[in-house]
Amino acid sequence: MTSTTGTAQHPDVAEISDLTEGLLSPSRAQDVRRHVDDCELCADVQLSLEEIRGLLGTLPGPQRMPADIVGRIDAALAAEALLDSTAPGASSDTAHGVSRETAAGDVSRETTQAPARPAAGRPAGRARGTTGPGRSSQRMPRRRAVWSAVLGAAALGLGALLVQNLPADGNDADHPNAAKAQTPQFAGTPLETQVDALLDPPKPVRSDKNAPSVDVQEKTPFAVQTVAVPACVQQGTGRSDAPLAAKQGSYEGKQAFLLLLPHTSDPKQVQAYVVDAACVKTAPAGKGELLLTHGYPRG
Amino acid sequence: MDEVTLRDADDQELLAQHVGGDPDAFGELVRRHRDRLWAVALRTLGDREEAADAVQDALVSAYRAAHTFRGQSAVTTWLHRITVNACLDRARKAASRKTSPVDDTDRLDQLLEPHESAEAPAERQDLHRELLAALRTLPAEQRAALVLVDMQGYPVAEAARVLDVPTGTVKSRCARGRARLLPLLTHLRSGTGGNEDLGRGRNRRPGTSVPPATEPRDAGPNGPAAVKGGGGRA
Repeated sequence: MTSTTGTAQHPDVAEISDLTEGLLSPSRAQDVRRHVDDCELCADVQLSLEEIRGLLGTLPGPQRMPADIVGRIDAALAAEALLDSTAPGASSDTAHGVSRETAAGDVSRETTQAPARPAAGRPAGRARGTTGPGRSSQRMPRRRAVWSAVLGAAALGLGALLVQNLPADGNDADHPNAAKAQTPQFAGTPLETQVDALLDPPKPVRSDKNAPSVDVQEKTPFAVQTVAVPACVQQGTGRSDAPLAAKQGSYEGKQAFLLLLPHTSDPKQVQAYVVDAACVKTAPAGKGELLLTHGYPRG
Repeated sequence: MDEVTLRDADDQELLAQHVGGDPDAFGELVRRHRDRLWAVALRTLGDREEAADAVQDALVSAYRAAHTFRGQSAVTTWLHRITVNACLDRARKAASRKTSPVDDTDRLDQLLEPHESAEAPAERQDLHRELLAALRTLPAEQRAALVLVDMQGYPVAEAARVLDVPTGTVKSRCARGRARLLPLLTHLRSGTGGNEDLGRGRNRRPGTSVPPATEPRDAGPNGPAAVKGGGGRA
């Protein structure tokens, strides 16, 4: 947008603005400065630009991140921690979670630094950008988006739990410790689907347009099973109402149960509990240790 | 790692501890930087929910990518960069769809909270709203530069590191952004009765009350001319 105007004409507003920032070539700067000095009109433009700068600097604005958003982000990061502890080394496989949230798929596109990697590391067959799970519609209701975002992250952790007690061949489901269950073939499973299913099992066919789309690459959607919850594990939640869903897995190297219960106060949320399973052997009548609990919005 | 040790650690140490498996280190980092990241995101996107999504995306991304941090920039710069990039992605998406005008005033008011008290002169509040509305008409890159430099007061060099562009580019984006905002200020100044004009402004859809200013050459000099009633082109 360099000016084509001669010294006899008014310079662009953009040029006057550039002058202030020292962006003009020395000769052009001299011309424009000379013009502004002599031209009341352009001097006024220059003054107004300074005024805008000052206004921007004094605009009232947020001092603190609001508590609800702090809580949301803490929950998302806690879900990440859960993932880390259950599936060490899986970070590259789970990176698509970020990309799914930023439709361009590349949070750090302009940098040469590593944060660009998560998108690059997206597993083959994962849809990019706006076709990602739960992101197909721009008009997706807000709560749905939160559900996808936060619980999507939670689901990654849940996926890790699921992986460990659902062997690849579908048999042998009684052996939650099977190490082979951590084989990478499960890593790319659309985890939101699992969570949706876990919360809403009696819906074999998706008709809800707002629901996260099922990845076409997915050939083996998990048959969701809710395991029986030992009494001490239920005790660990401090609640007596039946879980919406429960899964067995491991957390931070410990055998644990993941339970989803209705939120005590907010019907729009579910409360997730991770309870140490050790009590099943050591103190079946006692109270299992609560390892983690978090509320997540439900769609 | 106990809390005292966490508080004493610098950002880079915290990130290293996080990579090393400390479950609390990243949380401490977030506590330190979230308010500034929030301000940048909210002002860049102009929408509370979008900003919340962007910051969340960015922090989750940083959490996962922490092991790739090379220490070539400060941790705070790195966090800002990831956040601003997440915002720019969202801003571009938002630009491709038109938001409903219904909640615009509310959304602008959200951006002025909590410090725009009721005691502030109505005229000034309107001016702030108009300014925010006009900011949203700018290209995202210009807006991000203005947010970092003019609004949040980051040095140009730091903004350049955050945006990963040369300092000259930051200056240029700021200069062009201010130039595009000029018609706004001209509009406000040209109001004869002040309050009357600003009152009308409030009832209009904010986004449309400001000329798009794609042609600063026309919009700029003519505005003041209208006020002063003279000084045509030579």
